Amino acid sequence: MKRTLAVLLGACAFVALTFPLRGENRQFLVYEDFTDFLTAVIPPDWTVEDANADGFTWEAVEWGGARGGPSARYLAGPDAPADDWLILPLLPLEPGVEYKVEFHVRVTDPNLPHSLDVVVGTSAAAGETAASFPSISNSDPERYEATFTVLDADDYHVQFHTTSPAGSLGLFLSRVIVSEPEEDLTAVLQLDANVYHPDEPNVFDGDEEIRLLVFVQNDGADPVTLNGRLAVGPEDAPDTVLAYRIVGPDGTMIPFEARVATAAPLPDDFRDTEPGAFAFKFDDLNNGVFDLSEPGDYTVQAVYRNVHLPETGTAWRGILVSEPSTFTVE
Amino acid sequence: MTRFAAVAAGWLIVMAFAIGPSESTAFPTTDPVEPTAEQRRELEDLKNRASNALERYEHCREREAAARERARHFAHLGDWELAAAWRRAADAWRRAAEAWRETERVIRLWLVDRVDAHFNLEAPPGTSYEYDPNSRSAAFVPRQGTTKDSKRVIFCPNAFEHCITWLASVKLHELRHAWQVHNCWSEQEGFWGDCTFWGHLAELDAYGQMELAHDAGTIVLPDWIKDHVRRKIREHLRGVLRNLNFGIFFQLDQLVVLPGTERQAVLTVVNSTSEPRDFVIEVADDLGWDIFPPDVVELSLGPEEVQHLEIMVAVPPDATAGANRIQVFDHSLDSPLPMDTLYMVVVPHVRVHVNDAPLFSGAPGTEAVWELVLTSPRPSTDPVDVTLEFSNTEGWDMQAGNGGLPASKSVVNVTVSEDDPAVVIGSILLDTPPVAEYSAAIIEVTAIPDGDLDAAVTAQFPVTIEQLDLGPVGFEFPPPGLPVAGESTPIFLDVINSGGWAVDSFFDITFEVRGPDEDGPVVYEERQTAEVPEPGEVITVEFPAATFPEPGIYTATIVAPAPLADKQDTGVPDSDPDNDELILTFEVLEAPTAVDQWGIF
Repeated sequence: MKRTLAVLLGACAFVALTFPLRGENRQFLVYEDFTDFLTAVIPPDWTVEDANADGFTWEAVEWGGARGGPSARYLAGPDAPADDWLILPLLPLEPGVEYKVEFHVRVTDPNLPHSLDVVVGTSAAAGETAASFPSISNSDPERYEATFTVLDADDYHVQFHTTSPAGSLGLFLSRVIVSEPEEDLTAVLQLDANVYHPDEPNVFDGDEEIRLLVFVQNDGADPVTLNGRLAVGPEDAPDTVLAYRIVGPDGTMIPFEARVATAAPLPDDFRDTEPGAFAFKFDDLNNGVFDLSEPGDYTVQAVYRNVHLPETGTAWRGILVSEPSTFTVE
Repeated sequence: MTRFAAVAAGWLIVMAFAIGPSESTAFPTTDPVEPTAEQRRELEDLKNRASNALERYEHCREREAAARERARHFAHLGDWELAAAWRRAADAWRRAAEAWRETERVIRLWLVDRVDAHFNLEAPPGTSYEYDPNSRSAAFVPRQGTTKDSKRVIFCPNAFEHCITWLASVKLHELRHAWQVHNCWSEQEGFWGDCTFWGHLAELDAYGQMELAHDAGTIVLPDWIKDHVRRKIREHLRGVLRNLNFGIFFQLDQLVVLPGTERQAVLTVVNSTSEPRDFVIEVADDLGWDIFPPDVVELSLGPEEVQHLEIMVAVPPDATAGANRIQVFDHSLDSPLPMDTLYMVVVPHVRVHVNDAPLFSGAPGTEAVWELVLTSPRPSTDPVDVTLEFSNTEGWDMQAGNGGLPASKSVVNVTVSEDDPAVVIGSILLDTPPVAEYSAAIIEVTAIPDGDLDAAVTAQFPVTIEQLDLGPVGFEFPPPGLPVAGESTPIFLDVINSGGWAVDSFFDITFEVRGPDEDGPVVYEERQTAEVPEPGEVITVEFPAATFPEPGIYTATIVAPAPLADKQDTGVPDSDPDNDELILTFEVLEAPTAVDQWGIF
């Protein structure tokens, strides 16, 4: 078989919501949550292959996924080990680019672990293993990821292949993301104090507004359709488009704490952003949703993360993280 | 209420006992009401006024953001002087934005208060309302500054972007969170968090209130928002139940039925655990319709097994329009909680739908045209004869289509069936009374099928007349952004038409500058004539160059449209004179010294 993968950069499992504090701009080539709103579905351009022909294979179910939502479930047969594929549509991939596959996964019973491989190949149900997770035993959904590069420019399938033992019950896969580095879009966070009073120390008392501007700029050569509804919320929530990662004086992340009502984006929220243009949002960090009462130094980053698409057409989906800014509360 | 909200209601009973019965019952006891047409008109007027202020605010913010981006650009290039100049320009736009923000905030909070009164929404004691023009959420209750005795509810522009009922629904949602705090839910671990049991439960409860009010017909949401609310209910119910790895679900939330028919419903029974599980399933309804099987069904499912069950429901021949709630229980849980709910809805003969919200631009004499679509939701091919009666709150002259029946109360007969909707074109003359005083009216349509008054349905829709509304939004000097004492600089003024109508004519704009002190002399006064911009358009008018004699803070007054100008001839009143004048301050910089000769000033 022709070798397709150049480097296995890494594969690991994370407990959900562990985010590194660094820039990580990535465009989502695939974002799939296995629902069309009305019911759970395997997308029509995905393929399921029951290679061992035992009648047990991947199917969409309404339960078992991240945040309690739908998932693609593999139900192990009672007699034969699994040999079942969940195959994404062909993606045009380029050599030298670091691609990342992220997904949430859980099993029915921790005592009945499953085996799952991420396979990349130009043909369906074939290719090279980019990452292997031989013993998945968490019964709550957790985030896993794998990175890979390819040797040749071509169209590739990213595929999930399970070889779990017979009788191991359910394996639930949800929120599948395939991404590549984003080079053209940038998220910038500017504290007002840094802009209007650059020579003064960036110090606030507990009651002051901490005003800032976030903008997502298109530094590329082509227009990009951006979701301009920069609704702030917890980073992992589906409706959130803008989140803040704030690290407090004790080095821990300050959680977003509010009960928020957010509307779905409207057609007008998706705007073509020409080269050099940007989407922006002014904000106040000290509006009650973050506990900034502890005196000391804080670091803040803006995270733009869009998974929404307009009803017609398309839009950029992915994640952008700004460089950190610092301020002090006294 | 959907199946999910019904299950949640059961969970809430359990939670109530966990918290303590005396505290848990202190939720509002009154239900929302539907406002009168007059109240709705007042709310619409307030909403439109605030939107005008928001447009100006956002314009200033756009300019500020652009100037800050330029400042960053030049800073990256190492051109610190130019970067500093752009920063000062940004600061000028920031100050202008602040002025509009305050105007908008006052109107918004006034509107929020009136919504409470007109929709009968009850806030818990100690609730305060705030406004955040920056957030793209609809509203939120922050943890910081919120206690049992003091609840902060913060509204954002999105809550005001759509119809008044969306704002009322958002209020209902956030007030529910305030009530939750009032009743000590917020003391539970995870209440303020995302994807926690208490976080999901709080949202499930709040979105459930929105759906209840919608279903009760008091705060009726457009379809796309209703769908969003139901999606959120489903998401949060699943969040609440995500550790409950078994369940019984109806495959559909709702079935449309006709009297005298039988309908099948399908139940999905799931055991997603690694152990066998027994279910004792009972289906019951509110109205006592015949359901088969009539008794409990016992079922045993193996690990990860799923089964589908069919039930039949007989709709009585005399069933009237409305919903019958059908619930499924699992008695193996030793609990009265329903696992899921299905509504079987007996539909009315006819429905009335208004194509889009009628929004017109015009001067006296303009004729506004709107479109009604009549459908019969019943799965029957028999056509229905419908009589339509029209009225409006303002006594405007009114004409209905299909033959034209000029009267403020008109009647038209159409025939409609499920596959053959009828479209009725109507029109309203806007010349009585003058539009400058009345910008909105409520049209009420009553559809009477087959002459049966008991089966009549009504629909209301607002007609809003957009007018000319000119106003200044700010001014700017050419880059680097601020003038230098003793040097000539051109001036550019920005004027927006934030109304919904334009006229092919001219208006005057005046610009006066005093300074350098607050009570300093007038050092510049000019008047220019410009064409009326299109609705939503901002035009930039160049003024003759000015020379400011010395550095300091100057005060500029812009008036647009200026009164009594020779060339002002729009013939149409400006709808909101309050925003015609804008007063701003700016800084005139000191001239550079010889050492600073390379500087940009």
